[in-house]
Amino acid sequence: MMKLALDLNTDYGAFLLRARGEFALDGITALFGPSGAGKSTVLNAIAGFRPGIGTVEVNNAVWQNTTDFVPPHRRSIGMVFQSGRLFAHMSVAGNLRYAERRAQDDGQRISRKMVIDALGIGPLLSQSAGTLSGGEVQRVAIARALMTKPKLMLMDEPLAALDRKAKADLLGLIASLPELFDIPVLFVSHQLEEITQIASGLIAMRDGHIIDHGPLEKMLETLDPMVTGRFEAGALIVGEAGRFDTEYAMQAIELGAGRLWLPMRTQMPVGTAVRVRLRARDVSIALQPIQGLSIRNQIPAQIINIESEEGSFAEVVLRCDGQTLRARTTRKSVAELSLQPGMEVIALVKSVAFDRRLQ
Amino acid sequence: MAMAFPEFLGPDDQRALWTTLQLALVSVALLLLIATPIAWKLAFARGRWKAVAEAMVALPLVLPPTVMGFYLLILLGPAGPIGSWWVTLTGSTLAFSFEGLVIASVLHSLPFAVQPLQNAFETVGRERLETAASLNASPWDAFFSIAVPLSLRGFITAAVLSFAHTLGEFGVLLMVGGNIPGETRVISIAIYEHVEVLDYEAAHNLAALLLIIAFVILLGVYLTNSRFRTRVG
Repeated sequence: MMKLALDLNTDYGAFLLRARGEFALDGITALFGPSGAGKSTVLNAIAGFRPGIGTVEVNNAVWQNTTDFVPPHRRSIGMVFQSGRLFAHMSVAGNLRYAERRAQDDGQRISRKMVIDALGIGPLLSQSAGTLSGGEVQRVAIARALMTKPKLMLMDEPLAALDRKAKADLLGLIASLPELFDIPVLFVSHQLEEITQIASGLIAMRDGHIIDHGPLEKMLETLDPMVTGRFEAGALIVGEAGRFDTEYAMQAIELGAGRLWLPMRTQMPVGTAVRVRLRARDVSIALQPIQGLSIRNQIPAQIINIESEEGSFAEVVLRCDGQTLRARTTRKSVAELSLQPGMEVIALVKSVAFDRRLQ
Repeated sequence: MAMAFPEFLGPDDQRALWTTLQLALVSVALLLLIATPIAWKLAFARGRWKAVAEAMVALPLVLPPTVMGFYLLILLGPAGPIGSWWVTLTGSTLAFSFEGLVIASVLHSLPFAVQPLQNAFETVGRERLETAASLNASPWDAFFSIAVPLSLRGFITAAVLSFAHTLGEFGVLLMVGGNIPGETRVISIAIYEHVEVLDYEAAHNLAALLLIIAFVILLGVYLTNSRFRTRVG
C-alpha cells in the first residue's frame, strides 16, 4: 500500500488545475476523466516533470512542494508513456540495459529474467527498437520501466495507440503487474472499458479537479454520467456463477432475487464470484414481468432515485438485492409509467458484459 | 604539412599557414566547449529571451567583420576592460597577439558552432530527455548517454564549419591581430598582402590552397550529413 498526497495548483492559459487529495494506491488505480481533464499533468507532476506546481508526497516523503524538489531521476517511479518512447537508436536489449544500469539496487524483487518472461519479449531482445509493432513497443516500454526497479508504476494511456487485439493482450499483462512485481500502478485512461477490466480503485478528474475517488465498484455506481461519458454510464454487479446451459452456451449469474444470463464459451465453477457490467442504456424498466419478449434477463428491483436531465432523457437508479444499477430511459417514459422512488419494478437487461472473476 | 611544400610556399607563407591551422584548431576546441552549453540552453529555452539570445549569437553572420573587429579591438586593447585585465594578469596585451586572435575567431565563428548543435539538440527533444530521467538518468547522464550520441552529426558539422570559417576569416582578424608574421598573420591576410605588392604568383598559390581545403572540408560535411541522415533520421 502506497500513500500519495497531492495538492497541485497551476493554470495554463484558460485551463486551471486544482487537483488535491490523499490516495491509497494498491493494485491498479485508474486516473480517469475526459480528455483535457488534467490527468497527464497530474501524472507528470508525480513523475517530476512539473516543478513548481504544488505538492506531491509519497509515503509521507516530500517529492515536491514550494521549497523542495526531488528531481525525476531520484524518484522511484517507472513511467510508461502513451507512445512508448523507446530509444529507437538502440536495440530492445539496449533499452532494457539502459534502465537496468540505472536501477536503484533493490535485491531480487524485480529481476531481468522475471521482467522478460512476464512480458514475453525474449524473442525481441536483439531487434532494433525502431522496428517493433505498437503492442511490442508498449511491452518493451513496460519492461524497461520495470528494470529501474521502481516503487510505483505510472502509465499514461499506454493503450491509446493500439488496435483492439493488442489492447486486450496488454490489458491482461498490466493487470498482472501489481501481484507479480509487488508494485502499485497508477493508470491514466479516458476509456472506462479499459479501467473496469483491470482497476480496483478509481480517481476521477474533470476540468482540472479531482472530483472523487474510491473503490472502482462504488465509484462506477455513484459517478455522474456526465463524467463517465453519458452512454458509458452503468454499474458493476457482483453475483455467483450458477448453472451453465451447455446447449445455448449461457452462464447463469445468481443475484439473490434475480438471475442474469451471460453469454459464455465455457462453464465457470458453480459459486465463483463474478463481476458483470450493465450499461445504463441496456437496461429498461417494466412494471411487471413480461412474457413473449426476447430479453431473457428480467430482475426485480426497487427505484431509489430518478435523475432527470435537460432534454429528453432520465436515468433511473435501481436497487436489486443490495446492489445498484442504472436504467437510461426518456423523461416521457418516466411520466407515462408514473415511475416514483420506492416503486417495485422489473429491470429488463438487454445485454450483460462479463467483467472479471473475483478471487 | 607546411614543410611538405618548401618551394610551393615561401617561409613567411608557411608560417602563416601554420598560424592559421593552429588558430583554427584551438578555436574549434574552445568553440565546442562554449557553444555546446549555449546551444543546449537555446534548444530547450522558451519565451522571449530565447529570441534575444538567438539574435545575439547570430550577429556575427550579418555584421561587417570590421564592426566586430572594431568593438573587439576596443575591448581587448590595453585600455579596454578585458585587455587591461589581461595585462595585469599576464603582463602582455591581448590585441595584436595570438590569444587575441583566438578570442576574436571564437566570437566570430560562434553561430557556425551554435546553430548545428542547437538543431541537433532540438531534434533530440525534451521528450527523450524526460524519458531518460524517468529511467533514473541524471541530466548529465542523459546528456552523455542520449543527447551526445544522437547529436554526433551536429557536433561534426559544428566542428567542421567553424574550422572552415576560421580559415576564411579576414576582417576581424586584421582589426584585432594586425599582421605580425609567425604570430597573427594568417593565410587570408598573407594573400591580401601579396596582392597589395602585386606578387600574384604567391597569392595564387595560397588562394588555390585555401580554395581546395575549403572545398574538401565542405564536401566532408555534406557527405557525413547524407550518411547520418539515414541512420538517425
